[in-house]
Amino acid sequence: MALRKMIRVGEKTSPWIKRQLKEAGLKAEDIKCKEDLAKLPYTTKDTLRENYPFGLLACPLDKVVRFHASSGTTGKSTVVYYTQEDINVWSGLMARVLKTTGLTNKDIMQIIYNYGFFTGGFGFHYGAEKLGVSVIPSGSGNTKKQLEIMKDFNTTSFTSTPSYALHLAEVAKEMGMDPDKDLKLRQGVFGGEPWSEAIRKQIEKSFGIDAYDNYGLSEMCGPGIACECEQKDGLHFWEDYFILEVIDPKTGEVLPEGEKGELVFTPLWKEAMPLLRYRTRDISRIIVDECECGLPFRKIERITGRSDDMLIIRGVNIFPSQIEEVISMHPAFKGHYQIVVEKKGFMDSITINMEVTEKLFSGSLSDLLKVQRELEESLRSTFFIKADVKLVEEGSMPRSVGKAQRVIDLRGVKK
Amino acid sequence: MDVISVFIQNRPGRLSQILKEVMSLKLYGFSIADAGEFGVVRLCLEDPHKAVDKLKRHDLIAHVTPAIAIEDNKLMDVIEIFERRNINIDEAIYAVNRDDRSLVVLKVSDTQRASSLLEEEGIETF
Repeated sequence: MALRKMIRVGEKTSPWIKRQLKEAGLKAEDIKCKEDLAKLPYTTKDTLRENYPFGLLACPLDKVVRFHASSGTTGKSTVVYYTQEDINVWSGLMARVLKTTGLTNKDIMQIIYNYGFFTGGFGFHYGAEKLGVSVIPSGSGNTKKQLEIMKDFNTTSFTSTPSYALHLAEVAKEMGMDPDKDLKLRQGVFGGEPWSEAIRKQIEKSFGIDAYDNYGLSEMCGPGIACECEQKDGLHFWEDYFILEVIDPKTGEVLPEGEKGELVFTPLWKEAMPLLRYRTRDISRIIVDECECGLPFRKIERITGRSDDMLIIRGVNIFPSQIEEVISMHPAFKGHYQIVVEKKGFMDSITINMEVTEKLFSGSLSDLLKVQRELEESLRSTFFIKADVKLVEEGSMPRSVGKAQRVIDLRGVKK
Repeated sequence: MDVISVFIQNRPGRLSQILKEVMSLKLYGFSIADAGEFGVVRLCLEDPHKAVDKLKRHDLIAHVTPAIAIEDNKLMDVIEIFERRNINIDEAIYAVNRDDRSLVVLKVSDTQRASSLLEEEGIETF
């Protein structure tokens, strides 16, 4: 069985897996099934941070053909590595995702994700090519151009974050375009951030398409772990490549099948970066009933939340602590700030309210504007997203007893 | 004449609150510099240090900044002098003094040098 082989190899090649086994007082041969696996400690995002950059590498660096990384400030970003075989398998998993959503080699797919450290762009790109789909690697941004390309190339499918899809529809209307009638789109695959059924309906109506959800995370490979079929009722996950456990995020105990909790994945196929029991912090549950589509893989419910405070802003993962790290480097920082996330139109917008102190304000407005500009610039260059910095009066933010409420998410409940 | 600068967040009721604090003092000049979500209120008041104390007691961030006041009919001459001698004017407020003379209060890059220049040129400052 793949699990036994993976742990046997991992014990030899990965110092982290060796440590996990040691902590549990077990040897590789003791782990024979999923129940044995549950005796091992978890791997978390902190494991990746502590082992930055190459500490989790389980093969010689010569065999690595690709790096990806999650957004993060210096020293806190998390890096993932791939051998050629890892890329091949990942591409296959992504091709399976796209096939499950009904794509074929007759389709022309526009990939509206950032091609870079982020896994989204490359993941979809390789998977779509593998399936024989004609790929337009248009990357993120430049909304008007995206729409022109969709029209000129007769694009039949696209992938982006759900909020960007809505933004595209808005801009299309502003350009005098009817995205339903004027474009040849027939479907789209969306992900990177939680989205609701209402948003799906809105995307489907605006473009006249079927919109599918997909799920992934860079620690496993990127996208390519789970996706919806034509039933649009839960995401099939690739049980032949991943073991999934659902745990109570507070106690860490494994929950019975069907109960809601944190998803914990163990990939069975990775060479460069094998991980055992990775805690995703994503909350969902396994759907026990068989799916009408006939796929032999069980499903998970769409992700309903996080068990930590990570924010997903326009598809970018940001922890409030990372924001604090950036703004606290500015000499004007005195500790009182608040992060406000809201929807402006369809796009996420993030504002950092920072209190102005005696030290910061010497009477000159231009000094304040300079501070504002500097902070916005360092946030932009760290997270690659635009954040507004708003200077507020001292004492204007609530001082709560105990833990300050640093984050206000006004985007509404994602149900 | 000194100018009081108060940091203000752009939200309803804030401005009247600031003015209420200093109502008992005579107001000579007033301006608002707006930067969208926040701004700076400038006040010329009869007792600037007392005013700042009052404002600070209500958690407002306020500073007394030195400035130069001249009679409004001297404005052109003063600007020309400053231009010639590389003095930058950051802010200007139209004001009156206690004898109801019309003044322009200028916040400049180097107040000390600016006032000695004006003295040399025989221009009265307030």
